[in-house]
Amino acid sequence: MGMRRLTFFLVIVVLVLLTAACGVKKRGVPTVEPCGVSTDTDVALSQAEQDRLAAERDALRAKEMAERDAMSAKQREMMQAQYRQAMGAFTTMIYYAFDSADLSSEAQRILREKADFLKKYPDTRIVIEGHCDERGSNEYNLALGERRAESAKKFLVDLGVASSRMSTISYGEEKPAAMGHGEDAWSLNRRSEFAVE
Amino acid sequence: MRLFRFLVPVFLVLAVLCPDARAERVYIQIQDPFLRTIPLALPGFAAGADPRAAEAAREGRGILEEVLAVPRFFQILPEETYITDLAQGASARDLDFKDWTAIGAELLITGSVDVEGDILALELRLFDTYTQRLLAGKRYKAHRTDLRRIILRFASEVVQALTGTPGVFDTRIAFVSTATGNKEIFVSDFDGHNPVAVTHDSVIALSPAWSADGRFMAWSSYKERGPNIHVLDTRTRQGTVIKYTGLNVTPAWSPKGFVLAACLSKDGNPEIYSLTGTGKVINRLTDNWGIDVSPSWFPDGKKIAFVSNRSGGPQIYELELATGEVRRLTFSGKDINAPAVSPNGEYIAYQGIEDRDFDIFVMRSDGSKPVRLTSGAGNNESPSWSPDGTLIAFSSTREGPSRIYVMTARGTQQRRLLIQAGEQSEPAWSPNLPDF
Repeated sequence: MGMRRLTFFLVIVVLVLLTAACGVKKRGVPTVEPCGVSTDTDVALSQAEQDRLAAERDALRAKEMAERDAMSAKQREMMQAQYRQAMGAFTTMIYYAFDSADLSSEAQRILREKADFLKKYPDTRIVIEGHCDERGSNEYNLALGERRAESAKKFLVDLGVASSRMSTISYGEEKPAAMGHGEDAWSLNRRSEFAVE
Repeated sequence: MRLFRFLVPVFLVLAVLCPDARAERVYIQIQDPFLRTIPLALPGFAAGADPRAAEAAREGRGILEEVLAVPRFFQILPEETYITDLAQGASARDLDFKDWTAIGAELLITGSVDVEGDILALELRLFDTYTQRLLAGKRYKAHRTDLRRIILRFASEVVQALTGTPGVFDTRIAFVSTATGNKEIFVSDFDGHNPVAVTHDSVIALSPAWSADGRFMAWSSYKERGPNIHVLDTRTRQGTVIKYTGLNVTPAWSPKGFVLAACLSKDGNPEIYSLTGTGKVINRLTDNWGIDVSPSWFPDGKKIAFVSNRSGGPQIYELELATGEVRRLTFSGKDINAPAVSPNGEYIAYQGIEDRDFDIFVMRSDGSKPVRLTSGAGNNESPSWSPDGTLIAFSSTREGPSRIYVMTARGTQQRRLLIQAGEQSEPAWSPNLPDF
């Protein structure tokens, strides 16, 4: 303790002496003479210190910001991934029996999931595309495809999705999902597709 | 090559060569279900000294032989059976009709061709070899490039003289083709010549339809999302789009006026409406929970035939427009579609399944006596009547890809209309086109 106090005292004394010497010289001799420590140098040091501190603060802030950004990017990514997954699930098609627009229980289950998605993401607007297999006339199938898309839409409306968020379009038999001329292909082509606009 | 030529007096019919006034009888009853073919001799045309006359004579006769095969009335006798060569003369006084009756020819067509500069002069005559009467005779002058049109004009004269109706030589057939990659609307001559694209939209175009006067066409298309109905005035090239929410499909022009029947789903369900040609709704014609689609007008404009699934699968119904009364017409077969009322209103052609594939059927328009016209030849769909009611165009997959074929209204003489890349479907036969 005594040592520290003594050291402190000595430093003060030296500083006072040095200051007095410089002062004397300045007052006595107007010419510039190199001086060990000038008051100018004192100010410069303190400026550097401030700059350093400011830089440290800035760096810290930037680091925090970056961390926060990284967090939110990760979060965003997660949310996006969630949305993508939901979207992926959302585009699950529903299938129909021959010459029918009735919704099977499986189709109804899928539509309930779609309704959940649409409630979770209230800004999304969707298009429901109705499709048919190649049997029947092109013309009749346009009407049948429209009925398929409409029946899916009505079901979603009944589950509380605003009808203004959904549009329908029928492609009849014009855009088959599966090529081929048998029930395997036909059953895949009798469908409604869902897309987010 | 222009798609729609009009008001171009490209050639002159200089004279009617005195057809026999007594030739009033109808040689061919086109409504006759047991129509027989008439043996016809078509000797080489006489030609003037100019070598181009000989070439035009050869070419002109060839075109006439080809187009006369289309109406299926004629059995053109092979040239090697002919006793005389008519290269020297073509009028009645030069003819010994016994030379023609001897080989069984009941009809004889003679022609002579001359060339002056770029102008062709043709004389063409149709004779009844037994009565030795001139039934049709025409002298034409036209530019060399109009040879086909002259021959078609004369072919119309021949059929007019024999049947009392103008035939199909001044008609066209619209159809859907993927020749350029997507489903576009095309139009060809009645015999498949000169196919020309009407749409170049690279989307899906379907269901072409002609107005009763041939001036307007309508079809449905996904060009502006759609499907919407596009109406084209072939005279002004102006287009209109009928674009209600939902479906706008299966346009059918009324036989009376600028009116369409079409299927719209703007009120939530596919129903048939009548519309002006500019798309204003006149009336909702059907009101049923099921699908109502594919209207076809009766020629009096008082009834339409259409497709509905109101009793299960698709079947054909008729609707009395004045009363709204609906009657089911088809009961046998399944997946009955694409009704086409014949030009005289007595028959309805349609597609349906009796065995496994789609086939074309014709029934009386009251639904009685359905007769199957195609069988064992792939899927056969979308029948469309020629305006004289003697022929039916349809699509078939008998050769693999879907193509357009033409047969008689009794199902005989089924022949491919044309060869094109891609697939062709949904033929629509035009009315007689005065400006053809």
